[in-house]
Amino acid sequence: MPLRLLLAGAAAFAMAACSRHIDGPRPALTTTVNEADPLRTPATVCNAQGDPAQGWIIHLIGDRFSPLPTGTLGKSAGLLMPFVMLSGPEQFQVPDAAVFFLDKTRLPVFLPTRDSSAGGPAPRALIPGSYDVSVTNPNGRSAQLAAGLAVVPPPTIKSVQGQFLAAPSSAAVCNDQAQALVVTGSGFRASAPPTFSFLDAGGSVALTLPPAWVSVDSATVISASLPPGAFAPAQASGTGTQYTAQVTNPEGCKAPYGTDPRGLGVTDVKVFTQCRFQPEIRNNPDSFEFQVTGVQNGSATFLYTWQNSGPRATVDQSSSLAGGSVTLTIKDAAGNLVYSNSLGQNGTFLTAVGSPGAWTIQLDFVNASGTFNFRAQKSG
Amino acid sequence: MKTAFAIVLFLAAPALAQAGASRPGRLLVAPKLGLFEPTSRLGGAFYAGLEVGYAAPLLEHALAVVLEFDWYRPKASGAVADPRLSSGAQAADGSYQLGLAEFGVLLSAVYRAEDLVMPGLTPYGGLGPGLYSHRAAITAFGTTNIETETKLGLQLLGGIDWNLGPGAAFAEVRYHFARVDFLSTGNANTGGFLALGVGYRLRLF
Repeated sequence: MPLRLLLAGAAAFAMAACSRHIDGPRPALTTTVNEADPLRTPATVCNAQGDPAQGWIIHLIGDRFSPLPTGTLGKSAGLLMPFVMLSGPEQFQVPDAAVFFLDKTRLPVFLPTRDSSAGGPAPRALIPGSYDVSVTNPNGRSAQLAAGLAVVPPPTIKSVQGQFLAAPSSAAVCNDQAQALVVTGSGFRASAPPTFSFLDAGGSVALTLPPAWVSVDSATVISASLPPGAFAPAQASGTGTQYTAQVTNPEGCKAPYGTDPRGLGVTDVKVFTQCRFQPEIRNNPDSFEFQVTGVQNGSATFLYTWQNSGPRATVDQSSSLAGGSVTLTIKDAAGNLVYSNSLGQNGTFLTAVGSPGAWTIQLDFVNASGTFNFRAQKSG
Repeated sequence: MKTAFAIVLFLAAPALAQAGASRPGRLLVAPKLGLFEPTSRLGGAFYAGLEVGYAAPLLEHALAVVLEFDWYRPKASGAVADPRLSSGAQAADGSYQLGLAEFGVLLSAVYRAEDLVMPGLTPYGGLGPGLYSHRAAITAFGTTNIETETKLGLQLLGGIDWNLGPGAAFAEVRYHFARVDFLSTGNANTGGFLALGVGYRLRLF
């Protein structure tokens, strides 16, 4: 009888053993904030650029976020962070190493980008779109915020063109005139106007246009209105001081960035102190004519694209150079130099053989005075 | 409730013991108190227990089957150091407090060597399974999480009775092998020696 009791007791013991259970606070998630753009909620984040190691940081704002110390009876305690999941155009669980904690109302989270490796070795560009954000405490309780995060692509710039006809080239700013610049590209948003800046040769910001001067015409076009004297006198010069036009969206992504194209007319512009002379141009397929008269100590660069269907061109030069220098250079459709000469040399010349197509004609005036003419024509 | 039951038994003990004065009673009832000193990082804690046993006819009633209920709540504290607890110039306080309450239901086979050393002195020893109900409450970062589980374990005990009045005062030590595997604790043996466990054991009927 006692043995039976003992066995019955042991069986009851074994049956009473049960699995573990955890209980704790349920988090609340009220909004998200991009650290680079804290006034706009919920957060909009760019899927490129950011910190090279960690990407962009956003803050999840709410309450009762509850990390859990682990292994406290072991040699050293660990930490289990709340799990953060993004659900939208794709599913993305933020790596554990990219979730931080400041207090129970704020979780900083690093989101990777195509240019970063937050929380892992592989960069990742989230698909643009609207995402639901969920936070799950280690105790299993979770909260979700619908449309809690917007992911956008970075801006890009395809061209920067001045609209002042007297400018020495299309990529010029004449600081003595009111004029407009038109930027074409992508990733522009009227709801979140970008900052338009000019960077000097050292990469420092020389001028940031006030927001009132900049307007987003569409997702691909930005226009900027510059009054006379927009640049300080020391920031312009007679030969043109070169700057890089830079567009920065509020969430932090900018163009140009990294391998984005640069060059006059692409993202680079020259700022001239004044623009006093304007050449007359006849730019037709297989025939290009240039004339400017009465130039006094002029410095400028003119850049044109000319369609030449032939492999060569004849160049007729007829000028009177009274001072300074004017250099004419021509490149073929492949970008190879096929002609370079001073406009002070009169006569008929022949370019080297080049690739037919869009040829580039460039004239560089340096303190030049005089009257200048030339004509380029297709040659077999 | 348990305390009230123990008091009633204690007050009724003289009469009950007198009824069976010709031989020791077969029913053992013993409230006990002691200090629980875990072998893990947990700190020491007081424990309270109550045992009910039956001295079986085997081995001339030297073998007893004992059911015991124990409760104790040791604590631990510390701080977590983790790079994810800082962002920019701000940093979170990583300190935590762990309270691990355990309620044990212990079933033991106990051999009692009556008057082995000298009359009135009875050493005893035993072992058996234990059903341990663990409840870990960890407070950190301004919130509290609670984990619970019930697991089987083992326990060994040894002690000595000293006849005193209608029963016997006793002192004993006990070792629990009671593992927990909570997220907050990790896989650890929370058992330990019940140092300085003392009580009074009545022998009734």
